Amino acid sequence: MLRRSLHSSVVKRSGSKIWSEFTSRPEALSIGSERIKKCVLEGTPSQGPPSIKRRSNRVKYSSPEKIDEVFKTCYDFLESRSAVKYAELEREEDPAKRTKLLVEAEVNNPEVLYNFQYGDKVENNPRFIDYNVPVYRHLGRQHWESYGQMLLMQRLETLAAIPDTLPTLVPRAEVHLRFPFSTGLNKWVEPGELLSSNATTLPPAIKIQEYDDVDTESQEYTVLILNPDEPDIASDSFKTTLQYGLTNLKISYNDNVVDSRKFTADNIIAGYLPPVPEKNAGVQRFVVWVFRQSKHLAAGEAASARDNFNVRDFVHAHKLQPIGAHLWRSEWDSNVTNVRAKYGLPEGRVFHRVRKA
Amino acid sequence: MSSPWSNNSRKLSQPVLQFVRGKRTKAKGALSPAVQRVITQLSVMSAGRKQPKMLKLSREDLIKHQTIQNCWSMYQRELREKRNEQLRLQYKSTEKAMTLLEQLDPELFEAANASEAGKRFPLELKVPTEFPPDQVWYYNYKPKEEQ
Amino acid sequence: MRFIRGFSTTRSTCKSACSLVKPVHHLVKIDKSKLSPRFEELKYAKNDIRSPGFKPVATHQDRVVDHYHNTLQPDLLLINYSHKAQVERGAKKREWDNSSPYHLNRQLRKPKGSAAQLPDIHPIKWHNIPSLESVVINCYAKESKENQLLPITAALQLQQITGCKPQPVYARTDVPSWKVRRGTRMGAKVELKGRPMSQFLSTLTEIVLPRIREYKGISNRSGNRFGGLSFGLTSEDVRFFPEIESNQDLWPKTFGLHVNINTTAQNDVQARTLVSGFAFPFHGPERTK
Repeated sequence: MLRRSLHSSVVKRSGSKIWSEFTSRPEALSIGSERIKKCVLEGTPSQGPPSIKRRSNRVKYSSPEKIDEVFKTCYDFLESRSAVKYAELEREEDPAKRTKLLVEAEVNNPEVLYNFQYGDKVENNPRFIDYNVPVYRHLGRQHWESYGQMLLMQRLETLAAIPDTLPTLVPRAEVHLRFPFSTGLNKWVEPGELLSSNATTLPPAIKIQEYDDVDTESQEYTVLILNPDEPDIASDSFKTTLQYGLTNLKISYNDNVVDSRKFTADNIIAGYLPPVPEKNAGVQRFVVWVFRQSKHLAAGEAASARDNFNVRDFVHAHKLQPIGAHLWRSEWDSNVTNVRAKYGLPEGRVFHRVRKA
Repeated sequence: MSSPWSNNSRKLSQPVLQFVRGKRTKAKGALSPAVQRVITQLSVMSAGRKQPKMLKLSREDLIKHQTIQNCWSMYQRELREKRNEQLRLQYKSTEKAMTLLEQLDPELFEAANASEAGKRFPLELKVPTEFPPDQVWYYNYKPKEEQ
Repeated sequence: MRFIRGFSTTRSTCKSACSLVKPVHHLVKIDKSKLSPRFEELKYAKNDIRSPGFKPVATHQDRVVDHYHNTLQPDLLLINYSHKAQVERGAKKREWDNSSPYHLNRQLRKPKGSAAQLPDIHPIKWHNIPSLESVVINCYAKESKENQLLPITAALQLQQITGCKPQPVYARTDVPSWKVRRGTRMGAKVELKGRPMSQFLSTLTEIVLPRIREYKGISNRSGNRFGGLSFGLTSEDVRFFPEIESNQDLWPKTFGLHVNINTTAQNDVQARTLVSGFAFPFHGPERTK
């Protein structure tokens, strides 16, 4: 009964090979390698699946029985449903609903699944994972929510970055951070990692991955790096220092790494001050905040004192919307003196335990 | 011949201390048959060695498998939605008919709206099987008279 | 009071005399098991083929469920139809009349005519048609108190009949008159859902029940008021299960069962109508209100 009904409904609606034409659909919706694409869509060749590299392993491997035949039926079924979505799309005007339909039309496409599952999601190649395409943004957001977002929010909370700098964060964009390779730290930093002062000598590259529908042409971003743990002896407390401030940044969905090649001196509110914690001042947090701007900030408008920086006032004054964050930690090590010398900073203080009078 | 150090008498006086690998040290029938049966029963129930090996799928086959799963769940969802829609229409048209009947003939409406609490499906209603019986329909069927 | 972190001093406010639950400053739900770097494959959902717990479910057609959807569901909608039916409120806890000062902060008064609160009864519409939820089979072997090997046999019997892994059942309290001690393993139970449930029900109604001598059916008095029906099978009846019958000599002793059919019906009257649709006979007088 089941087989019959599945078939008859497929036969009725198929005929539109919507997933195999690439005149109107972006090329990123197809598998890159021709052999793998053929293996997925037309059945495993006799010498085994091409994704298994070693010949001996390929020979040993055997696919589940009948998987190709069943796959073909299912592919036709899903393709026919996708055609319905595309037909709806032509009539739809509302951009939010259009994005939703575009996602629904492609989210079950096996080629999209393959590209996303086995492609590099952070350093994405727009040929395979193109975040301009709504379905990849949808999958990317799902992937982020399944791990990265939870990790970030847990670290922001346990390291008390959220009440100490800004009251809260509703995460909308994924923020990645990495320092130039010359410092020896050749990886994207995990939120909350303790980094040596050598690794953080040069300004970091910040990757802002948007998953929402934004107008990438006009939307501008502000990035602040704050240190809320600078000792303030006068008030026997701590003060916040602005370590790095960039504004009026423009990014696109795929080309979104903010590094020193992306901006000019006009974009800089405050130049990069590397973490140089003083001896015995404890572990200091360096919180990266990314904001969407509601308007363009004029040149001198955003300028602000680095010392005693009040981030809440700043955000309020410039109507910034926090969308993402990141953080790392630093503490004094023997290299701090070198970093201070390089940036012409004064000799750091050394704190000692003092018995109260 | 019958010296106390002969092989034969030694065997009788003390057990063999020499260790032989794989040799059974306990008599086979030590357990009572009831206990032995329960041990067999436990081994039938335990899942230890009955777990099938985990499937190792190649990348392409995993994608195919996921596509098949997606298709199946979408197909099931469509069936479910269709069924629910059908039931909703049935309810709505029942409601409409009853409203109409209430205006037309209150007496018939009372009869139609009488509670059917305690109603039973007939015992002859079978869950259909893939192969129907030899005699598909009992044309001369009469239900048993209630005593 | 504004709390300020001190650099060189520790404020007395930092030390709390009681344990504090730290506030959370965001709305993202965190699943810690997903964040742990250990056991990557355990993070997959159970229905993902990469998970070690993967079990294929939809391996065959489910006759009983198909029968329910094709035949019973529309009929049940019609049988339970009542024109312009309203929600019947169940007995709920009552407010005190505050005639005494002791009524202040007292727990709410118990419902009228009932020890516990009763659920509301909603009219049956297309979205709440009674359906089968689960079948719980419970096997309590009385003789287990003397022979601790019996619960194992009982569990195996349940597994043979249902094909699902049973859970042990323990005596809950000391009962000196029955010589039962608390914590003694007394039998086994198994909860069936989905396809195993359909399989069990069709075996029961097509093979086992018709062969029971003088079988009258489920009692019309059975039921837990909220849509659950129960009946028993004796140790002789259990022998009619084909799994037991085919190797009789392996089963010198069988155990009786209690079968509980849980439905989404809101009361027993609806539940009996539903269960009768799966060819279960009923007998005895019924109270329909």
